[in-house]
Amino acid sequence: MTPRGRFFQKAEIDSDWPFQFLVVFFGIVLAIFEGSLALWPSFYGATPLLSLIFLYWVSLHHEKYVALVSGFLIGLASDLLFSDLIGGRATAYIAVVFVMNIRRPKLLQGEFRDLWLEFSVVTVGVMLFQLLAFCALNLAIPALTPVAFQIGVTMILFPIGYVILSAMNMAFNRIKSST
Amino acid sequence: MRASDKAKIRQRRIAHTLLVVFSFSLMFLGKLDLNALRSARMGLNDFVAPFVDLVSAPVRGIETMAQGIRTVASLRAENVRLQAENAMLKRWRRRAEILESENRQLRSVAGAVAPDRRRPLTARAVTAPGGAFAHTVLVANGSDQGIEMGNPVVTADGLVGLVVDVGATYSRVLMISDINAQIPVILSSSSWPGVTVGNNGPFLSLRFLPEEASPKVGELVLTSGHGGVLPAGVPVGRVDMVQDDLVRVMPAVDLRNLGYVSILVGGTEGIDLGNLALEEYYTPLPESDNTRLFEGVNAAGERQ
Repeated sequence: MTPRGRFFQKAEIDSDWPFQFLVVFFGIVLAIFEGSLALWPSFYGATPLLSLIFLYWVSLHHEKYVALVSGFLIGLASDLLFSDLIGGRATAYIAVVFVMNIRRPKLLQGEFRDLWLEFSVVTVGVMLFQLLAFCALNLAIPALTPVAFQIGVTMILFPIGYVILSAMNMAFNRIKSST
Repeated sequence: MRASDKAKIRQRRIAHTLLVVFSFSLMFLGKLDLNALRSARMGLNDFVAPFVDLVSAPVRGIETMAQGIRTVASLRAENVRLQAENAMLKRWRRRAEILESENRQLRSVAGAVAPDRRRPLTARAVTAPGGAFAHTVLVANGSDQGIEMGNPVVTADGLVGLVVDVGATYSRVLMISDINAQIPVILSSSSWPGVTVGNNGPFLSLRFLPEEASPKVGELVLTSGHGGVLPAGVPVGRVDMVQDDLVRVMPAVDLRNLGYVSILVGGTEGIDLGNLALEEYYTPLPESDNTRLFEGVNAAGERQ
């Protein structure tokens, strides 16, 4: 019998790459938008982490479109544009994607309250990691009020961001099915 | 599980580990302040900044609209306030003219060197500090317009910071409120020297004051001009609180509302702007007694 090799394997027409690229692109746009929110005096020095809300939501509902590299690239773009600590947020976002891969099945069975609680823990973790790295590298402690404000405002904005992203997803699916 | 699948999983694990290690090591590389990394960063900023500008246009629009509404709402009160301010400014102008003339005469008598001439260059602030870990802004002017590292950035109210990275068309400004910003200053009424240090918050702290110094709340804090990187006499802020060893300074410029800034170009000939570490470019005040100098340095500028 003639051995059947990879020539008979199914062609990969339905690749995840374009969507993964789109997730990274949208995440970077959100990171830029997040930075531009600082132009409002109320958010000066402490803007909500919109890119984290997006990353959390995508990791939860479309995990196959999020690789560790996606988290890295979104975080790195944010670091290069607005932070002094290059790689700080990138490393934290890699950890977020990694944690979400593990926690996802359990979270999807829970209520929204559980998602929110888990997101709050993730936000605190991301900020705490950056704070520790910053303190270790600069040998100085920054003002903690903006850090706390940033965590708080991100937690508060999570339900709004979640609803907006879910609505956008539904609209996108409707367009997709109609075409 | 097939052998090829196992190999794929192993490869993916190795790739993920390498990514984590690379990302983690970036933090240390960033702190090493490598020229290559700095150039890459500014190159990327030059490329992305117009896009940042585009994305922030709606935010800027909403802020302008809100400001407009606020202004209309308080127009009458604003008019009264401006009239009073105008009258006061006229008085100050007359006083300034008298003082300027007196200053010129005294300089000619004392043979003092005239203050350096720096060329102001107006630039638009493209971003604002968004995170709690860095207080830097991108401004829309770069080396094409003659901007160099170390150029001071000011507004009509006082000092904003200094240029730390220069791209072709965009520059990054380290604000005085950043934790890495240390500005040599003097207290305006008592002339005690010190250094303001940011903490990534709204206030600065005034450190390295001599023990005899007694700063007063409301006292103006000006740049001392030590080292020549920053011009002397630019307002940095006012003493806001004095509590034991802590002297808190409120910045003179409202850093939350930076639309346009002036970058002072030139006037730093002979200064190594590539190395802005304080101890490298420090020179003492030209006074004979040791009491009003930075701690650890005598009148001759030698370390004690």
